[in-house]
Amino acid sequence: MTTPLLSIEDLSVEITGRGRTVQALERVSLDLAPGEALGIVGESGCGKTMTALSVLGLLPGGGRITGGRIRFDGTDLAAAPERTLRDVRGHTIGMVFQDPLTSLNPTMTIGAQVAEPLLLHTGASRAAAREKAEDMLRLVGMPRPAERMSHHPHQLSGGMRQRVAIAMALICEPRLLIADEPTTALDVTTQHQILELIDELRARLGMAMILVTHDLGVIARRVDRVAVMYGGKVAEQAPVHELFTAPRHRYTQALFAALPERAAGRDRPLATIPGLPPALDTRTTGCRFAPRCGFATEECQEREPRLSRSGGTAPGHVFACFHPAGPAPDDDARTEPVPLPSPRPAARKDEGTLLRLTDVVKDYPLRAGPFARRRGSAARQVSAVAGISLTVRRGETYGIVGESGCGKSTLGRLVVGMEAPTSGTISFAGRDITALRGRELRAHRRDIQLMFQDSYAAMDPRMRVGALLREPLAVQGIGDRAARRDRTARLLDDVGLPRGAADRYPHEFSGGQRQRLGLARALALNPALIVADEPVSALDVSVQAQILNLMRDLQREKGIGYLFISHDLAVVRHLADTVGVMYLGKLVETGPAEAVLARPLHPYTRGLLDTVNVPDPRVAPAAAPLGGETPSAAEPPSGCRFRTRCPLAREVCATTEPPPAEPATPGHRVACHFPLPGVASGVSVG
Amino acid sequence: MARFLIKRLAQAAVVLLLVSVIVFVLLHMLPGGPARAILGVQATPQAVAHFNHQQGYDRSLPEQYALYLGRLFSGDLGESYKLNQSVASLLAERLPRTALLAGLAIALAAVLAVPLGILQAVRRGKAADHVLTGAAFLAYATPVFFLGLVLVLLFSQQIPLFPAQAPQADTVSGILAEPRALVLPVVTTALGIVAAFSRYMRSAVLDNLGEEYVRTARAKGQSGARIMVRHVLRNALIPLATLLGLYLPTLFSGTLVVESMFNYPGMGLLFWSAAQGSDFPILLGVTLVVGVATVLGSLLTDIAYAVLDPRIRSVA
Repeated sequence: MTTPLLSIEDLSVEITGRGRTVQALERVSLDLAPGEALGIVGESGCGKTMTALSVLGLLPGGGRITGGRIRFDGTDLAAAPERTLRDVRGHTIGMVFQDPLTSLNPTMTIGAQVAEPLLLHTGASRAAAREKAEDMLRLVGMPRPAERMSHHPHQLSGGMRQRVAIAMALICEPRLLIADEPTTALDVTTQHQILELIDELRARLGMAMILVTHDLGVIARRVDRVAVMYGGKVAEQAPVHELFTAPRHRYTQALFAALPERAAGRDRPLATIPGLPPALDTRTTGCRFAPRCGFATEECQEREPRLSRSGGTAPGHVFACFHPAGPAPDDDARTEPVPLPSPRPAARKDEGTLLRLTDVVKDYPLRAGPFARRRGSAARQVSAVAGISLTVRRGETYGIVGESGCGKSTLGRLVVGMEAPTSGTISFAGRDITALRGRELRAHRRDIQLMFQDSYAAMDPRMRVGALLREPLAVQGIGDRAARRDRTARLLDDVGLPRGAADRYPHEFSGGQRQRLGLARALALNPALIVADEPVSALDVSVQAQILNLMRDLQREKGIGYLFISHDLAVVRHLADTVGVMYLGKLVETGPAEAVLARPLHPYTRGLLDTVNVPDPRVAPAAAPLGGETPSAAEPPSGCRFRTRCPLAREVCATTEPPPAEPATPGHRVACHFPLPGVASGVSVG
Repeated sequence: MARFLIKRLAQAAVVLLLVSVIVFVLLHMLPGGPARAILGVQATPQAVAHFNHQQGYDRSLPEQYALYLGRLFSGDLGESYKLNQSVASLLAERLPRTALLAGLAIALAAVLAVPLGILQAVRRGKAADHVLTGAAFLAYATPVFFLGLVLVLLFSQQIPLFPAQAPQADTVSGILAEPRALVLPVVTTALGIVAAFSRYMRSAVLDNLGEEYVRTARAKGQSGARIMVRHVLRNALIPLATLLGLYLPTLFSGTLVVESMFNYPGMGLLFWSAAQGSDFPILLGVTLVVGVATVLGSLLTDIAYAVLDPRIRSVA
């Protein structure tokens, strides 16, 4: 083996804050050869980001390295003084962070920010640095780089900002790039473009890379080796193909099983990992995963497994597990016992239409204020929702898929009645709710409830959970004190939380538990429809599976309809009966989930499916992923709104808006002049 | 940027017009009307009527307002009852002096408060932070007149470093020629502002140090000091710019006390003596000037804002 470029040996990190000390990393060892790409995956709090930050000495306040070495290019960075670290940062090791919206300085020009490392680390003159920065922007695919140099970050889209961050990290041509969740904050298509860009630049500059992510899909085709972390330790490390085909550690195995893509079937619940990842503030003996592991024995509680090889694994495949999965692929994962699904109450589905949207339009004036109004019709507006018609039946799950800015959240707010449509009608259970006012409107609100992506932000932090759950009942004047208390207890039962939770505050709960609370609150009024806006996108895979199963179980039990809004095709595919694909305020394709996602008719749907990162390294990359960026909804393209990014667009697409049609099967509608033949997509999701 | 400025100027003009309306209304609420105020309570009704006719006070209110506005534009703010001088000329004489005092105080405050705030943020929770926090609260809580007395007692009586009387020269350059005499008035005015500004600066710097762009700058290899100067400073000054404009009226009430205390011949002293002698035209003239200054202050704030923060420039 060649001398590693980076060698982390027995790295331990502690973080002290608010009177407690957390053992964030414990004896982590990783090697990285020159030019190699290593993925670090794991759920939140597993220590993957801390590992990355330790390398550059960028641990957050209160964090310190308590043991081990980080050898980079002959220097031990763990023991190096700040001066040495400053020489390395941005020079021989570049770093890209997760959120391009906050990781750039809002008051500095793009040019100055990109040129900064060069001025620091090389003797380059200002002019030379500017020139190199412009070249770098061109290299990362920034259109009109010369012009962009004098722009500020807020003038760029999220994807373009991340390109700037990459240009900044690479301008000194480092030998190692550390990318910490570089695409997590981005849309599917942008995500794909950024990952491609990193791949290309890596090949060009011969850089090694550490890619930190929670997303198994992102890592599948982008790295040579993967380290799986759990509870501040490396649980398993293997070449990427090995890991995806034959994971040995029981945690890795369970993690894969919880992916919606790997669900046994649409009518089967997802495999979940019970419980929560460990809090690292108490020292535990034994395997960190033992409390959640279906295979744990007494030995696992008492002794700590060391990373080691065993028979049947490929070279370089190590894991820390006493009871590993067999070396053959597809050994059964033993996760949360999967109950036999109760048959879906089919009768309910045909009970009739619950929600019907007819040509619903929502425009927002671009500039509010006394001066804008006077200009009247000349004022520009954002066309957020542009003529949407759809029907949700009782007990049905209608999935809305689309990228950010497509209007899917606005649609959700319109349905709940938080906003009034500019035109069109929304009828619920046969009544036009856009005409409702006052008392009637308030009574109607009982029937449609909302579940948020960030339930915590949607809860008053100073109210106890009991009060939060009783509030909707109080607002609607339902029951007396005792009845409400009783209802609260039953709601907590329904969502699988202990009744004692009523006396606690929201901040005392984990992300998954908060989503359970959000669901409980939405259920409090026995609604007929719940609008769930990205309810699981902030959650880790194992927890996401728990929430999805819960939502499905409650639907079976109570016959609730869901309007399920998500950017995640795999999740929508798993949960939804009907799918609507949105692009720039329009539904471009609707139909049964199976049909739409397996045999898409619209080039956009097809593009989305092709672009999605499938958590399987064997899947060949898509031939023609979606390029470009979504145009602004303030100036939507004429005719078909997708035409500017469509590989099939012709003249007619610019002049005439395609009417919805059903060219393939009844119920599968598409708005496209040149619909696809409807053959199975090259990439299957799930 | 140009469009933003034009829009903001137009808004300022509207507000100024409203200020003039208020001052006009106040003028009409003078006890016994301006005639009685000027001619005295002994004046005959004929004299009052003659005066009112001469001054146009017998016309309709809108007409009078138009006349008032016309006079305002030609710089006529009326005559002082007591000083036998036009209000405009009095203000022209006094305003530069007060502007000098206030300007020096603001400049001193900014020069002190920005580094103090940064120091406290960097040394958060350490001794320096605690000491400066205590000092800031003490200075903030002390009334200006008391602070002035203490300073005079200490640095003029006990240790005769600075004179207790402000420069008495007529011109700005004359005042500047006596810097030692300026020290106590300026410091007295500035201390409270330093206290407030350094608190704001401290929290703005702390907020920004927690931002991710600072971590990005560290990941580029920047040192702590350069991150402060190149990255954090400008972002942290944005909230301070707002404060600066909002402070102008407060600053005026500060100079009112300070000027009378140090016998500084500025607008505040003029206002003080006019208030004691019920010299209403002067009081109203000063009120108008302060109103204008307040509007200009917030205009300046917005411009500073736009200069500092590129996001505002494009939204506005």
